[in-house]
Amino acid sequence: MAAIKQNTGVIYKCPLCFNTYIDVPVDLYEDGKYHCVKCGFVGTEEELLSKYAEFRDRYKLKTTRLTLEEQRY
Amino acid sequence: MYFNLFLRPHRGEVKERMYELQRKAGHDFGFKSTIFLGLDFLKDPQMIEKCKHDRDTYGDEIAVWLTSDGKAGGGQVWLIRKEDKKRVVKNSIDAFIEAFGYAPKSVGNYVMDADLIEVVKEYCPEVEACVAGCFEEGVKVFHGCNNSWYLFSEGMSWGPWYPSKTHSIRPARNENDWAGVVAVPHLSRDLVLGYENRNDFFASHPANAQRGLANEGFSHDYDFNLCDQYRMQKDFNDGMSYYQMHVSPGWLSRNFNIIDPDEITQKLYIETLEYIAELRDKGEVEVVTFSEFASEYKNKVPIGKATVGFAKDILMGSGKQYYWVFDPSYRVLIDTFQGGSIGDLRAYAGEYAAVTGPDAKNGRYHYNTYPYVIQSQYRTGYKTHSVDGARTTLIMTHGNESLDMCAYNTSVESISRTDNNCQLVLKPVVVEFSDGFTAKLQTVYDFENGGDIRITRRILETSDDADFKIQEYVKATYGFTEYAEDMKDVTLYCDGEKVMDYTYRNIEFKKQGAKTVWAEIPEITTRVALIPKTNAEELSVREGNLFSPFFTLKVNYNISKNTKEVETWLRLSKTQE
Repeated sequence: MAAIKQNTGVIYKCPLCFNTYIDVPVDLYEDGKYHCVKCGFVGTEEELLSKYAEFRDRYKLKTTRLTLEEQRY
Repeated sequence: MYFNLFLRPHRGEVKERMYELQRKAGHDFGFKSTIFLGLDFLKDPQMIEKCKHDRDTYGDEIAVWLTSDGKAGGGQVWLIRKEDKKRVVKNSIDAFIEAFGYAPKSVGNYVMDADLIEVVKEYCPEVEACVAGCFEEGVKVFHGCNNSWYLFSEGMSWGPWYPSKTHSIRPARNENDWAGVVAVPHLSRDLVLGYENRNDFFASHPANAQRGLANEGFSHDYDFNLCDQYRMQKDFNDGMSYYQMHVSPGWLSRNFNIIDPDEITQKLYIETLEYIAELRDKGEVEVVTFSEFASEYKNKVPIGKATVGFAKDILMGSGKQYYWVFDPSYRVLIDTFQGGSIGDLRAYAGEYAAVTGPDAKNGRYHYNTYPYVIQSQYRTGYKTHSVDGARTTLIMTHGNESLDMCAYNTSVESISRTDNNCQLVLKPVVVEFSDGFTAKLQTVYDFENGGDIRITRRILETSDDADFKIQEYVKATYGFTEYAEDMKDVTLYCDGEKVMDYTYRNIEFKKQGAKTVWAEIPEITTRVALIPKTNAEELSVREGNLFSPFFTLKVNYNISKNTKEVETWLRLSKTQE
């Protein structure tokens, strides 16, 4: 296994762990991929971002402004 | 709606810069802030002068953020010994008085247990307001933080409350029971997702929502929708609602939990404040300091008054609705998506006492959670791999076929309250059996202030006079987390007679014409009883086994063509110690 390279950019978290609502930062290794210490995830930055976008899809109303009236029963 | 803006400076170049950003933003919008200072800052002449300036210029309040110290072993202030709490409180209050020349009115931390509040009030009676818990922060957040966040305060209010003397998140029954302060949660949490999901993602804290990826870049409708969810609560609480923002500076730049660039994070924070400022300008929001809010709350809300909560899902799009009551006898959640069953029940009537720290009883050092008797998320509920778990429901039987009300979605028809009662009426549900027989039923809950939960099942219509029976069903247990507790001390009763000790043999006791069944749970000094107020055919009580560690109370009714409604009371009370 390649040694850990210090991540000085955005601090990403493992998308597989995050799918179960667990925050685990992933480390960038010398192979250019992010590895998770808690599960078997290995992936590029593009894969990470793609999985985050998929995660956000569960929030069907994330870009919907609900009026107060719409929130009432 | 009352609004508090809480600020809490931190050390470090980036965090100091972010504190200045927050300070400026709040003042630019004309807000009064409440500035919480830890001991370090209470001895920092520069910070003291800055706070005095903000107090004198903008009307800010200066308050104490209690923190553990090296002698106590660090960690969190609610998790240290009482003797250490006394030292920490003394040092912080003394430093505050030395810095500002008067005693603080407000103190706080993420959790304040009953001991900590008692120590504060004894040493500094001038304190009126405490930040003392986090709504539904516990197991889910512990897991979410990779099993590292030892904060357990589930089973509390989502809004302000009067803490009791023996458990800080149990609401006081009366003046004698009251710890002497007004408490608020550390953030305003989503009334739906606080229950279903990680409460720390879905709160009045834009960066928390970003952590949960609930924004889409600069688009963050959820922050505004959540603010409105809390504005709506005044509809159910005689005009009272409360919202708060409490974002420590470390969230606004280079926070390891947030993927977005800082530019987005800071803009979302400022835009959320801007929205609240707009509401203030329209007269919808009153911005006050923490101690000012405590005074308003004491003037407007008597001790013992129930708080009602209602919310729709505002993020996932599920269409779910939840209804809460927070009362000195219980906190209860009605899950309309599961036929109006009880999804969460905390039996405050049992007056379970707890403090946190290494000197807490029974080894429950971490738990400022008020134990549940029903928690359908943690303890199975309706959907299951083997048998059901903690929940309530109505079982409807026709011939040899039984249907479960939890399988039917309903929603709120009306919410109302009087001085002594909060009523929830759900929309009718039509159930159809395989032979075509149908029944239309409506559920009505009456939450008597300081008393029983009255469950009325209205039989609105049946397709014919065929054989029809219903069973009021309560399956409960007790617990602090998702894991089972020892049930061996639980005892089960029928009509006042003990009928069994809990031996994990899954034995059921039935009695025709019985008047009441109950379970006693000594560990949490609580009795859970089911009492028919309409003539019942048979009552039963059942223990469980180690693969299903619950007890079940049932009341069976025969429904005739003349039966208009059936009423059952769920009574929670304190056991004899």
